Amino acid sequence: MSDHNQKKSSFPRWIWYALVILAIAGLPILVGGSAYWKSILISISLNVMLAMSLNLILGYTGQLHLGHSGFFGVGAYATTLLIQKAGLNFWVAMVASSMLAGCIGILLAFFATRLKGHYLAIASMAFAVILHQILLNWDSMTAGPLGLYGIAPPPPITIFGNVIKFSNQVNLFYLVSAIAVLVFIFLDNILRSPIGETLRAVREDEVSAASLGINTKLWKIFSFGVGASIAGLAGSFYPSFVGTLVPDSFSVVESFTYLAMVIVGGMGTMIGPVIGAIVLTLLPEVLRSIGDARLLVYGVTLTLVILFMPGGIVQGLKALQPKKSSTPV
Amino acid sequence: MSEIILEVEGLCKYFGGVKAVDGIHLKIPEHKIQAIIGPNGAGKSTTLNLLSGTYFPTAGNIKFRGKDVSSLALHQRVHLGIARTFQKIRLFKQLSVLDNVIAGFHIHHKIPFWEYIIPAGAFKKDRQDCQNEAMGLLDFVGLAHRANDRAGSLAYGQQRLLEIARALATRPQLFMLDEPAAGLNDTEVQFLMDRLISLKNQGMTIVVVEHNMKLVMNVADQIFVMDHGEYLFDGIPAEVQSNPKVIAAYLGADIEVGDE
Repeated sequence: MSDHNQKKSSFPRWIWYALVILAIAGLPILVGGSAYWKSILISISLNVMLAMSLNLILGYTGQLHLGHSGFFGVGAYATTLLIQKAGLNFWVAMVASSMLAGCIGILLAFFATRLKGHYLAIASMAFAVILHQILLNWDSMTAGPLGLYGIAPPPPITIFGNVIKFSNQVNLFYLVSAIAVLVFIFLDNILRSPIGETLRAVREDEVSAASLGINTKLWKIFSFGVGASIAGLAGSFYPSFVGTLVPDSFSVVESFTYLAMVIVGGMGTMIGPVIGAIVLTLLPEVLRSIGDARLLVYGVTLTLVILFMPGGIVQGLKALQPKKSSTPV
Repeated sequence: MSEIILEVEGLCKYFGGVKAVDGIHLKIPEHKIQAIIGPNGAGKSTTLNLLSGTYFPTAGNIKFRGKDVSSLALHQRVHLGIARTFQKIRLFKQLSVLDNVIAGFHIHHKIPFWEYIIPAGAFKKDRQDCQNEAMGLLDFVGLAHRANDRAGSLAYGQQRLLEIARALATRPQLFMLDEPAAGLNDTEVQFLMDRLISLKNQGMTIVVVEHNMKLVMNVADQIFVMDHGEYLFDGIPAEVQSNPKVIAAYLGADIEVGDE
């Protein structure tokens, strides 16, 4: 588990941010004209947001939540329906559906705070299953398994007289990845504040946390609320780049993909889920050439990482660095 | 006689048919060390759990400075200035020693909410203040040199001391310790006694549930003896030591003691 207070990187933080921004700016140029790879870049940005928000609940607050696909689905469907049926502007719909997902997260947390461990895992999975069923069966709103079609990208915006169109996938990637970076900075800041200590205290030992004046119920609700609204925010952008929306994109199985991203990357660290999301989004695409055998390779890779790096890739990378000498006694 | 900080009336806690605590009356004066002793299963720890809000009583009430706190939960009583440690050590083992103590400042942070998202002056000052105060507390329990180590890597006795430092970070007026000397060696018990007396001299009221008679007899101003969930005796150490009922309870019923 990472320890923010003691972490002293040899690099100042702003250099890291500068490098990330450079990489984001350069990536679309690197992949050239391939629309396929551009859409993968957008996918990665969304998955990074999903993995980071799940990590807030799972890695930092210690709540075994397996229904994250539900919040993603709420964001995606709410945004699309608010635009198509209520005629709202994309940006308004985006904020509204992110807030709606957050509210549903808070609602789920009210039940979740009564449950622990495996029971919470089952209840949160049930939430994702119920949501998937609602999407499948509420024909008048969601068109059921047929799905919604012809979803437009976010409307163009004008910055310093330049019109930026998001029908251009490169621009959409810049937008989504900029939001992912902002989400990262937001989470990184609150987790390095006393809120981070509070959440980790809840994760480590609830009774102990309460003995320090921490209202554990309230902070779990906070964590679910923030995590769900970030997942909802990611959901808002999903239909605008895929163009269609079907319930199966939000089946409970997807929750396990996000869970794998968090665990493979490194649960309870800031950078872990980012790495996990990048690796596990790219891996199936890279392996596409070997057909169905890719599922086998994917599965074996997951198993190996978990067997040999229980702390995820982050732990593996740390092991490569020279050991920091511990404080002299 | 100093003012009463905690007053307990008719306190009961039943677990199904088991009367763990049955009709306890207790008045704890301010700035004193109050010990609660008794044989195993006497209900001492349950009493402490009731006083701290870890359990809710079946009957009876608890008044802290005249205010009824019986229905307040553990985390709510911390805000009033009541802190506790646990019989079975409950540290945040994965966090550093320093972070354990800093987590104890939860109710004392002075940061406007926007600075949680965009840290600025007040945030940095709060961080620095917490860091300094935490180091002071670690120094007080003799763990300053281990500040950056993982809490789980400390020796058993040090973990007990760290739990004390963490609870002190909540800045309590009434500090309750559940068997703080359990598993400590003689040197560590001596150090612990010294620290408890030092806290008392700083104006804190201390309640300690303890089996270690050396500690109890040396630091307690007042001793409350329990047996089978009930009141047995109440007095200063010298009285408790010579009381036949107490001796009988500790040594077993087969010892003939006066008019028992």
